Amino acid sequence: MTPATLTLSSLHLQVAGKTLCQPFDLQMQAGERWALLGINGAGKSTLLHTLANLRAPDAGQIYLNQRLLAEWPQQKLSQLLAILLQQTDAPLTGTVLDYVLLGRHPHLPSFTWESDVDIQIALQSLTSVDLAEFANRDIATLSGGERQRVAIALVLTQQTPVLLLDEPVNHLDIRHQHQLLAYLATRATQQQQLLVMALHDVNLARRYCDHALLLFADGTTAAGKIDVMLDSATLSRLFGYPVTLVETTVGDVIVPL
Amino acid sequence: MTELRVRRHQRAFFLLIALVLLCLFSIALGLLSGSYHISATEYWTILHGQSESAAARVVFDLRLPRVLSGFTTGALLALAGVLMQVLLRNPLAEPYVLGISGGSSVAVLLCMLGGFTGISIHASAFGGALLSMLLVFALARGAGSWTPTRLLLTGVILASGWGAVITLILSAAPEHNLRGMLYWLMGDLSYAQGAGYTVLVLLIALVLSFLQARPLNLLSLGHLQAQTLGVAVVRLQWQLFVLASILTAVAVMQAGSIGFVGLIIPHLLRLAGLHDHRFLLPGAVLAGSSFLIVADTLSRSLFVNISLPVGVFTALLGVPIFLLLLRRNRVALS
Repeated sequence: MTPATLTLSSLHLQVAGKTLCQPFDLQMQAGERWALLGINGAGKSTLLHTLANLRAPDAGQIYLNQRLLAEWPQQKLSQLLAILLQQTDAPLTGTVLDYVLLGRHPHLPSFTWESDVDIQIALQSLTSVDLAEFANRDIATLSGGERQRVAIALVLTQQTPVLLLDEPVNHLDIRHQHQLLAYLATRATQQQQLLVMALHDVNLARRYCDHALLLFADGTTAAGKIDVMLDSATLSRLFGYPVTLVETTVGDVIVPL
Repeated sequence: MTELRVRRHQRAFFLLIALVLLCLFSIALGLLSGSYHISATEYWTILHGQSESAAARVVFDLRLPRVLSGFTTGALLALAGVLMQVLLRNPLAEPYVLGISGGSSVAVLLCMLGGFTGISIHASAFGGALLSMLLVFALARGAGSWTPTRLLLTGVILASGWGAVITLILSAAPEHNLRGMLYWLMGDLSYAQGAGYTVLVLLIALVLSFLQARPLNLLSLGHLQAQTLGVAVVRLQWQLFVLASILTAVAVMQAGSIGFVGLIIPHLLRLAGLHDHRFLLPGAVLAGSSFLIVADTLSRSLFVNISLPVGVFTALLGVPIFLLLLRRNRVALS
């Protein structure tokens, strides 16, 4: 994986005429793990979709490795950048392995079949989301949390230097939330991968991310190192609900009042 | 690993082989049966190249072209069904539900009403189908992109509109035209001629869609997901649209309005476990053609001297088979 950077320049986002974030600049480097925080409707998904070139910025530019995002050919882009979309209830068919192998598409020349190497990569991804035994299961028989992990295995199989995740721990139990985020964080550090994820749990963000981008309800944004960003005053303003920092034997924890 | 790769496709592979056998069997059935009785010894002489007899003429001049056109029409319809179901991401999508046959039927009935015959009927069938599809897609697209639900809804509404026009034409048509019109509306392979170029259309369409089989797998996950995995979605949607339109138009031109094949064949194959389009596309061609050949053979050989519209049999055969498989599948899942 060659390291990749994302540069946002005067990025402005709107949905249906409403400003989600006023123009802001930001540089995201390889190996960084960004948490994207904000209330419902603050624009987390819209921003992730824009970063994945699924929609155009309303103003401003996004560069992937100094090249305008929109100028990357679709296939080349999908080799560099993967995004986990929020789950839809689209009916899925076939086996878990068939589904996860779709993540190899960007790397396969047209009209070739998946090789042993591709299957190996897909199985590794399944192992890393704790679904190694599920390869031959019919995907329609999975539970919500298992489906979420399969979807994550698909984007891992894509093996991209940039990974965007829209609420990756949705539907996951506590053990899998922590195992998954720990795995993603280690992988990002080891492989110099840029990780950007929208999260709702501030404590998970503090534990597994090193940078935070806050999207406030009034359209302002703030970005920086996570340990200086997430104080109780800022978070109370961000969520429009009072929170406080509680010291515990396992470290500080953010608790809503 | 290699073992897993082989096992992954084993079932699909065997299913395809079974479908090839089924197809050969139905072709044989189509050639062997009919209201004109041919004895075993006569078949023997025909096989040895003595093609002067009446029996030989029945087999080569009557049955063979019909089997061939049944083959291509069934395959075209099933293939069009698979493509439209991916394009609309809706299991109900097929050429006939979308009002394409309706548009084509109106054009043909008007043509018959005007006293035209032969090639102009075929041409108007083709033109009507194409026009109807353009109408559906233009109306559904509007300013933004195609949303599957909107497309389907537009098609269904147009189909009922065409239905009203068809009834109007039928009730206004002179008595002596009615029978021909009804036959055409239920589908009829007996007008079929010149199967040669339809085979060519079928082959080209199969190859073109097969080359896009992997992107088709991705597109069935939804257009956003497909895009993130590197598929040029809009281009692929246009290709699907054009290809499915041409397939439908050619099928309608060949055999009139035969419903049901495009709807049930892809679903039968999915119920049997074929989801990967690299298997589903050739599977649809084999199963669709076998199905229509069998239906047509029944329609012309069940009653002496009466050939019934093949559309009656595609429904009479298709409905129970489909419901049975759907039921079995539900039991297996739960």
